[in-house]
Amino acid sequence: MKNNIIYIVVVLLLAVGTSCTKDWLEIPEEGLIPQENFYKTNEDNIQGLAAVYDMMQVLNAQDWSSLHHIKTILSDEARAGGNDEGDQPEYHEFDDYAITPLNTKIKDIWERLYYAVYRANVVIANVGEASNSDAVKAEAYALRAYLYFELVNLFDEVPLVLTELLPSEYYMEASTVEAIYAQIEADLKMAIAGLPSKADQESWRVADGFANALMGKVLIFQEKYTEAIPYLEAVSGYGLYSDYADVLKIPSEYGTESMFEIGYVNTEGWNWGNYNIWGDGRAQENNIHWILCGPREGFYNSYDTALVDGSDKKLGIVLPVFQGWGAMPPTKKMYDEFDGLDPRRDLTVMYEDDLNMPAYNVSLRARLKKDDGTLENFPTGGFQHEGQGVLRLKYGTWKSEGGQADSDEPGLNMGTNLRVMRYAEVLLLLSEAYVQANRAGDAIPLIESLRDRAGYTAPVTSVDMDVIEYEKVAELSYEGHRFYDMIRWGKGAEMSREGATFTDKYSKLPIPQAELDANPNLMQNKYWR
Amino acid sequence: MKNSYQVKCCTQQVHTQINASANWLKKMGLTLFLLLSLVSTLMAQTSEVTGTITNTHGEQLPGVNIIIKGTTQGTVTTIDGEYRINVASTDVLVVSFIGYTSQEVAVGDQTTINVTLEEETLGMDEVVVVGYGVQKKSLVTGAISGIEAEELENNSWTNAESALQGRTPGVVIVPQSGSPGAGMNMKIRGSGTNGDSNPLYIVDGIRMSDIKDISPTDIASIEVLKDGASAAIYGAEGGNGVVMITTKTGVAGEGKVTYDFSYGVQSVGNLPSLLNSAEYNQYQSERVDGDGNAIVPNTSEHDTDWLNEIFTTAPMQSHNLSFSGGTEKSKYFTSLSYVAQDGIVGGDESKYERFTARINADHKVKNWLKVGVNATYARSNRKVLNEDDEFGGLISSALLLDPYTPTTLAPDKLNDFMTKVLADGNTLRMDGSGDYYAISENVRGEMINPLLQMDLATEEIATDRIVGAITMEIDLTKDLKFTSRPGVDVKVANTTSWTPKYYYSNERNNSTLATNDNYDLFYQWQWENFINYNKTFGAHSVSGVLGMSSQMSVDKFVTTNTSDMPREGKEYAQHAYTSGTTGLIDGNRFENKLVSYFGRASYDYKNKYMVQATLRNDITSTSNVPSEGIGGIFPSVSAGWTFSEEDFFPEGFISLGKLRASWGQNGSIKSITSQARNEGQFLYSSSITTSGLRYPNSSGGFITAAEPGRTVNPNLTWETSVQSNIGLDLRMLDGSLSFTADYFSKETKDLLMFGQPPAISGTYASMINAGDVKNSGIELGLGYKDYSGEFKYSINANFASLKNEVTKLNVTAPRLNGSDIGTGSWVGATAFEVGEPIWYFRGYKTNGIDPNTGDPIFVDADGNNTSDPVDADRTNIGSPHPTYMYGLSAVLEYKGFDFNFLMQGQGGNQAVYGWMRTDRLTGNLHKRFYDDRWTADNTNASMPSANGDSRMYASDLMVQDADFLRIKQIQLGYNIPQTWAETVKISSARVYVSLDDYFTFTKYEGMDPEAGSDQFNRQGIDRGVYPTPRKFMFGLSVSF
Repeated sequence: MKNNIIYIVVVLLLAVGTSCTKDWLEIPEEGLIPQENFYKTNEDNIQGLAAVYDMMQVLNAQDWSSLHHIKTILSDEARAGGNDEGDQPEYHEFDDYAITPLNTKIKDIWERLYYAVYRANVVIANVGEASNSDAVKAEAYALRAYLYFELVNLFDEVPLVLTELLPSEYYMEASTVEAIYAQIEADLKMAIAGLPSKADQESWRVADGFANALMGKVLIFQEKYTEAIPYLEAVSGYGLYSDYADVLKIPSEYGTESMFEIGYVNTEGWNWGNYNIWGDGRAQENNIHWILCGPREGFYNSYDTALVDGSDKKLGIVLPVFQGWGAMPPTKKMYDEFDGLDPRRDLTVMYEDDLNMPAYNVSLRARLKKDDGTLENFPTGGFQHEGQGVLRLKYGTWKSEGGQADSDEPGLNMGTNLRVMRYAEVLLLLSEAYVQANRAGDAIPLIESLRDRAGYTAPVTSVDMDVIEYEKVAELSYEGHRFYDMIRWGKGAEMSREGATFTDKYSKLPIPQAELDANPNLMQNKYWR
Repeated sequence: MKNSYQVKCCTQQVHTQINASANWLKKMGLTLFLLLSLVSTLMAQTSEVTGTITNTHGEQLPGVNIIIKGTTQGTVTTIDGEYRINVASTDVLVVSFIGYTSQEVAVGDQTTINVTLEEETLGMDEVVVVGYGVQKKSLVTGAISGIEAEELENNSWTNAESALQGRTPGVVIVPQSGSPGAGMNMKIRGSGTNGDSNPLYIVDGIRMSDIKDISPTDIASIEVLKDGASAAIYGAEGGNGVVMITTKTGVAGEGKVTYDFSYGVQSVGNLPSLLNSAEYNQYQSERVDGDGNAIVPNTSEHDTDWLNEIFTTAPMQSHNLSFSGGTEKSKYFTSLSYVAQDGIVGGDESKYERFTARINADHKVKNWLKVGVNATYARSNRKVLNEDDEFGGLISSALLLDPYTPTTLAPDKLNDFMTKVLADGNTLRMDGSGDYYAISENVRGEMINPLLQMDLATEEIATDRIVGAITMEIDLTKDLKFTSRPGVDVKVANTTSWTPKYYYSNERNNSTLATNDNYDLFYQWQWENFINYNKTFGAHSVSGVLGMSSQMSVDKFVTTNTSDMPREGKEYAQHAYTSGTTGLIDGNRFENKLVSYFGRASYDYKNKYMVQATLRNDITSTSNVPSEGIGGIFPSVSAGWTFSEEDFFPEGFISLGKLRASWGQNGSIKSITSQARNEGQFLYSSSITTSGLRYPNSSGGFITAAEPGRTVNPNLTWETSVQSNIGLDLRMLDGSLSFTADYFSKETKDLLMFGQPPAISGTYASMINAGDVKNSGIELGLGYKDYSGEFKYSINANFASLKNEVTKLNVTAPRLNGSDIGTGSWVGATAFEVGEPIWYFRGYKTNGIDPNTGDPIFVDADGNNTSDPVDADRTNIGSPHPTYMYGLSAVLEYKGFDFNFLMQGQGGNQAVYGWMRTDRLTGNLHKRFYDDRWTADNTNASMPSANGDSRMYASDLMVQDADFLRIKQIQLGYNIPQTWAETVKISSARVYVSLDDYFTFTKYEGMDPEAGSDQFNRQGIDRGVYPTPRKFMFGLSVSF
């Protein structure tokens, strides 16, 4: 009996012991694909490429850190706004020119730009076998060039990462601005050679025209105007969207004017029950920053009862934009930059003393009347911190751009795409190159085409840099271009605003402190040293 | 005539049930209760014998078994060591008690039989539970603290961890929150890990991921294996120490029925002082915003004390019914318990209820085979409020909301804002009396009227859990015993919530009725097989364990959300009734495996010289670490010398003196596995993921995106801790006075956390082995007891010191940042840096207030005053880790009365006002920032002006010492006299009143000096923590 028991015991122990071999402990990585098995098919390659776009979607929409937002507040187009100075204090640091390298929004955009670079590098290094590999690689080069263009303009000298880094390679030094631009140009040459035309490309992806246009822009930023002209002239297959009022709205997305845009959608059905602002670090396909910038609560939902005309008659008009959280209120200065006859003004910003709403076919003077009968200064009143009486309609919180289903929280579903580059900018870049290359006459038809599209009848008799500058405001304000332009034109000081004086170091952002801490070989850039 | 259960009948039923329903532990438990309630056959005996059982020190021994030889009939001595039994004159009584030599006494014509039992071994010996076996306390060479059974009685705890609070030196238990049902974080000997710091819990040999579902009344004893050598038998699981819990078993003899009841009223103790309406008005009027514009406050007729509004008194109660008994061959213990506790915030909106059932039974099937089962089923329901969150948590909202705002407003008295919001067609909610919950005109953002938030609270967590194991013990030879123990821990948790319609602000509103469900199934099995060997050769004793263990766990969860419920109300919160969009479906599955081989060898010579060595080899699964590094070997050695046994040692004052020394190495695989829920598994791999990655494809759909999941780390390994311990045990005055001292030094190497590589590395960081942390300290225990007279008492005191320091950082960054406070107002409020305590508070140091400006005078890195400090000037301004802790307990008994006292304290740590959202300028604030603030008329001030430099909110002005002394218990009990008890046919009954956690003495003026958190790198940051309630308890305990 005893012997049997011992036998059983030994068998039991061995049975358990031997069944627990290494095979049992090797658990497959559920849901993950080993890198060596990926980037083999056309579909793999496009999925890898989509990750680059996806990270740029994050770059402009996520966690209250948006590159587009930062560039706009840094310029003289808008203030930080929100509820008060304590609402998103780090956005106020840009507005107040009181930035420190600890600002986590700077850290966020730095990180996301490099995260996107990495995803492009992974595609470039790994695609090969599939038939679309050359075209996909060319596209990754174009995106990487764009990312470094942003990095060099934001941070000046930065590390030039072109491969997947091993931990031993993390401590890179910064490259010179010249070397970065040289790499951007090299990447763009690869992109131009390999990218299909717009007609042959899926519309959410960039085509050869973008690569040519970006090359032109990069050269203009280096003041190589003559060299830029042929690249900009080579952009073909694009045109101007017919209706300026919708040029930044859903109807024109990926249309004839689209060179490169970052996609957002209003169809995800978010409400406060299911929406996660933090999104586990990724955008939830809408752009939360659009609603962040809607006019702040207060009177905006009461327009139909509060709008009165000169004789105190209630107008019963519902404002086409809905309320948000009051960030990025536009400056009166930008409103004043416009020629009052330029229809683009009233499609860009409205001012309280001249409340035109052409979108609703109304042009009248109106005021808000509070319940107690007093007149309220429109967006400065009540809750619009740093408001200057101006309401932005460009990239506004248009109801048509938000969630449409009954169960949607409209503002949590803002789907307006961010136009990184549209054909109008190419025409303005080319115009600028012509002016600088003493061929100003060649720019006249380009400017005319923009004004004609908008219905602005002021004749164009000559083009100089003043005209270019006006046209950039009229056509492209609030689209993330003005800050870089003012810096390269040496007009940074003009961006000073109440309580904040521009100094030279605000030409660039400081490299985030966390990055300097984590990389002993990286020096702060010369502006912030 | 006496009542007694016919035990044999019962246990046979038990046994049958075990065989029939082994898979249905829960069902079996319930069936047993029925059987036990039904079966009570009366049996007559011939004559009565009484007596008292004592030990050689004259102390009466409770719980001694007295069995009539050759039968299963018997009884157990009372708390005073007395017994009564009906016997025939031909019977022989067998008197036995663990740790003592059994005696047999022939009855004859005696009517009184008093027996003095001799201890089995030298000294006052007890047995302690160690891993895979038991050990005589006199032979222990490591550092093991025990909680004895008597300390576990007479308490009103709802959770098992509380038993250790204040009683075991070096063990710190911090509630994650004071809300009912919240978990506890236990730290043994300091903060040696960055992940889950909780020890390994072994309950009756079964691993449990937590002990929330163990009824405290089921616990017989707790041992804490603190030093590396004691815990090394658990290898990669033992790095945080091991807590061994043994639940009650039956004793042979007369069956016993016990019923315990307690009822208590909870209330809040100290609360912070905030500004009232007049003060708020004054403070705000002194302020300007960041653009230099004056903030002109309105005035208000209201003066709301929000904290007063949210706190309430709340009831709690518990019932526990247990049955136990047995024979020489079979023993059983089974219990039912129910606990219900309302919250002091939210009342029954933060209620916790738990029902548990337990069955412990064993039977000697053959003379060489014993089979036992330990199983428990628990069901808990918890309603959860949003707390510990400066972004709109309920308590932080109450702290920040302005006193101008009333709690509710009648429909005809709404303020302007509410009128407009209502006119816009938003939903404002009403309280029960038809008034609207008021919306502040000054403070919104994420903040919300806390009474409205309570009204909106719908989250409930229902958990079902079964934990159990079958233990088979086979005596192979006289000295060799084989044990095989398969066991499971299964937990199903269902979290439900739905979102009512409401409007508070544009940040806090909801216009869609949506319902959410989360199902979480955790399943773990383990199977352990080991052989124990024990042999004595003359003066030499050897013992050993050799075994292997394998275990596996799977955690799978699914989260769902749909919207557009047909109506408001829980009854409509089902996906089947919603008509809108499907918002969210998420889920994952995590798997862990571990195979271990272990051995232990012990040797002692005449109980005088002891040595012990252990070795464990653990092999984990590749879900945790890369394939190359899945194995680990953990050795330990220890030795002891009982110098009082030496011939040269003088007899007298010191009866026992022992020196102990140990060294051991442990791992902490938990520091990786505990990350799975938030971060997933394979935290070292750069494989391609598509999780959550998609991008609009311009034709209305999406394209899936794919990218490497994280940066690769092929060298990831688990944390390893190496610990040395030296200890001294003394027993003096015939064992009445005991003293224990230990010094330990514990270094945790390769601490795990997510790396903070430069962002140019390009993607999410892998987990890295970031650095080393050292904890060292002394632990002292002193006890005195005197049970000899009519006045019996015992006093125990303990003290521990602790030094925590990061000794190495494996990355080039000067420090790693932990938690932030607010939106950018204090980035990197905690940090991990060489030479500092782990996750210390890093901020600006101040040196008074500048009388000219009202700004704080900051101190730069060189120690000079500055008005413009930079990041590099930030330094250590506090630590959440106590440097010393102490406890004192006393038990006094006189006649039927008893008095229990327990206090616990700690010091040397600080807490941060993390709820003060200084980025919300109009938020209310703590009165300490008001009372002696700088104004033009008060330039010699201790606090900055209302417009002080905003860096003050990342400075030591936000930090306060969080030393505290808490009177855990003052309890007065009364045992009814034996004579009364007999007339009502019960063996004992006790009633008590108790003040639990009632008095807390602290200089900290925030919510609770124990500002704990469920996240490791934000300990000590008071984000509006739910304070530990104080309780007035009444209790009753009856057994028969």
